Amino acid sequence: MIKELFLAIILGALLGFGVTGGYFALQKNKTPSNNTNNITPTMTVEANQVTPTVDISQNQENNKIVITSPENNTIVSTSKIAIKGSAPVNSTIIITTLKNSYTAVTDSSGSFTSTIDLESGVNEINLTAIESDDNQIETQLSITYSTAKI
Amino acid sequence: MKTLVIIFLFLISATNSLAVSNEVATPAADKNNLQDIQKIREVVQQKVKEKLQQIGDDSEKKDTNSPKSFVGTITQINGTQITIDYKNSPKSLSVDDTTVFIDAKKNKTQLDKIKVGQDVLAMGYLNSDDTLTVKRLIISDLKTITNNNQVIIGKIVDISKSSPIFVLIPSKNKNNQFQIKTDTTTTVFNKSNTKSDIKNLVSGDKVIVVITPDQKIAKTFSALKIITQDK
Repeated sequence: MIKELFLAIILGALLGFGVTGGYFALQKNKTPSNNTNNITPTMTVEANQVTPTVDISQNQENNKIVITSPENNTIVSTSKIAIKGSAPVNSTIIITTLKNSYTAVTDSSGSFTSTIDLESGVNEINLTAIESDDNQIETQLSITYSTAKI
Repeated sequence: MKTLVIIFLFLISATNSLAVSNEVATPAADKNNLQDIQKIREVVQQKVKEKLQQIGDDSEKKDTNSPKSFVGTITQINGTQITIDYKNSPKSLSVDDTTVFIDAKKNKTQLDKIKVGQDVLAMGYLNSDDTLTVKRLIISDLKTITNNNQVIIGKIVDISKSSPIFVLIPSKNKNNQFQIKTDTTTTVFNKSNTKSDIKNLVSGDKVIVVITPDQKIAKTFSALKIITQDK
């Protein structure tokens, strides 16, 4: 009799744990898909890996010339400098200094680059973007070329 | 009777086991997972915040550390504080013992030789309050610096046969017209950037012209560059 009693208790316990285990195993398989919507995607940040980006599409919508390099009023020590920026797609960019003029065309993303010669001292640079419908957009940039120690 | 007791004990054991498992396994495990996720989120958010702050600080430092230049006309001198009119806005400059002053003949000079009304090129470093600590102040002539070049796109409506002048009507302002002179320094290119000849220009051509105002004749411009376009 005692043997049967122990056997009943052990079998009952095993059945109970078995059912519970099975239930949670089932729940666990369901859980990831349920939780996916709750977990906010996060990003890892390593040193020097975060790069600020400029949304040039907004500039194009606003029909602006945005000069990304060099910064206005910059002093440089070389007589040549690359002007980089963005303007409406497929625009002709005319860059004029006091003595010279340069032509560039924006690419499919609206970006342009043109290397220009600088005169010693202040260089007032006029940039004009001519869109395909002949609309003109203008901006100015001032760069000083000096080899003097500042 | 014996069988009934056994079945009863079996059922009691099974029910108890279910209850115990439920208590132990579920809430604690889920709670721990959520707490871990929350902790990771907080750490990542903090890291991102710190990194963005650092980037902001770096760019600010970069701005103030790179030398800047401003050109304008002196409107006020108050001790070591100078104000210039920079593109129709006042710009505050600060000079000190280390500032080098250069006159129009490119010779070194002193602060007391600097007067209101003079055009100057100030080179130095921007402070957080947007004033410029001047390291080099050069007396200049704004007229020789100002870039008066303009760009116009439009149609040539008339070409003079007696003089090197043509008339252009801008595409976007047909009520206006420009009388443009050409000379030996005027360069002509086609749209694909190939050099062309000024003699190839005819009335009706659509062109982009880089012009500068003629110093001697009013309402007349000199063409520096002509770029022919598709008609």
